[in-house]
Amino acid sequence: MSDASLLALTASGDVAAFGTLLDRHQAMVLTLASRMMAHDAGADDVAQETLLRLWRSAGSLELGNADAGPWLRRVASNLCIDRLRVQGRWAPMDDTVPEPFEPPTQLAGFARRETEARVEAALQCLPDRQRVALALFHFEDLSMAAIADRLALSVEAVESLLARARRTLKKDLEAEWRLLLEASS
Amino acid sequence: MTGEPSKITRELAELDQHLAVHGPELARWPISSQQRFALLLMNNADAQRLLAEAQSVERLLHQEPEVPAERLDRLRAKLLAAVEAEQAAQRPVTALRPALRPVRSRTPQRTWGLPAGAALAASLGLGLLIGTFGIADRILRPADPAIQDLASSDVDGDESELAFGADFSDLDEEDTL
Repeated sequence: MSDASLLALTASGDVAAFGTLLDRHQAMVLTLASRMMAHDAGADDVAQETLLRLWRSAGSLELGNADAGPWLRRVASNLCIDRLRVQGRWAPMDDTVPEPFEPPTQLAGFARRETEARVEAALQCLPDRQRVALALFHFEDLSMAAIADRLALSVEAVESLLARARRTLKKDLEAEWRLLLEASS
Repeated sequence: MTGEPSKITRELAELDQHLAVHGPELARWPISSQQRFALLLMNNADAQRLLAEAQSVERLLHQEPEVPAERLDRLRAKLLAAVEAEQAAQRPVTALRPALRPVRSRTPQRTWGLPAGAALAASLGLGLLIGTFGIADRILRPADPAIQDLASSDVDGDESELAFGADFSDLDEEDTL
């Protein structure tokens, strides 16, 4: 059954249909929120609020042929940005000094889950603005102009955030991406 | 001879910066950048290496971590509880309290939009008017003259008509019983 059909049932109060939508999307919403918020409790709150909005908006939301994913990603990322601003974590551009990243101690033969953990740790060490800009670019597929609009920044500022974020990640995750490179070549 | 390597070096540095800004997905680059670096990426091994490295970093970012099942279960349980609470709150109150009776108003009852005191005064005035001008007699008097005649006619012989007769003087006591 399509998301649009499930949404129509949800609008009529069908909790089971809403449960199916949760099965499909809650992991993605939680992952996105975790990547943007950099701590689990806040991410859980954002995920809950995002999915509750899906329930409340079911009657008015028009998905067409699309699934609910893009709408949920947009709502989740907006909530994350709002929360970071409210929490005062939206530091001015020039004050964003990345925290030192601890190099991995055990690189050989690490499992996929360990790689994921390293990537998550590296992402969480990025300054909020850089991490959010990166998440909007990668997980929402937004253009530079759209990210600039969402974050109320200039396009040049967004380009700078993304460049610094990618350079930091490339440096911090060198062991991981080199392994991937060797495996694919 | 010396100018050529520096030009390549400069182009590689620009490509590196471009990859940092726009990422390794060429389709998301501005068209002008795609055209500008196309030849370099096609012919230069260092440019291809830079692109491959950026793609590896990108792949790492797209490896979505597995969310622990208990965390998802907890989120799902919270959401369903919240949704059911919202549904319960939206149900009509009458469905929850069917035995409700209409509540009597504590404000004074009004008659035709008048307070009770005003209605009483109006009825008193109307009564005085009726009494003063004999309106009641006119209203209560039968319109049919035949009935008037019947009411005022001689009632002798029939006891049943005593109540209608005005003259009791010539009747015996027994007749009145």
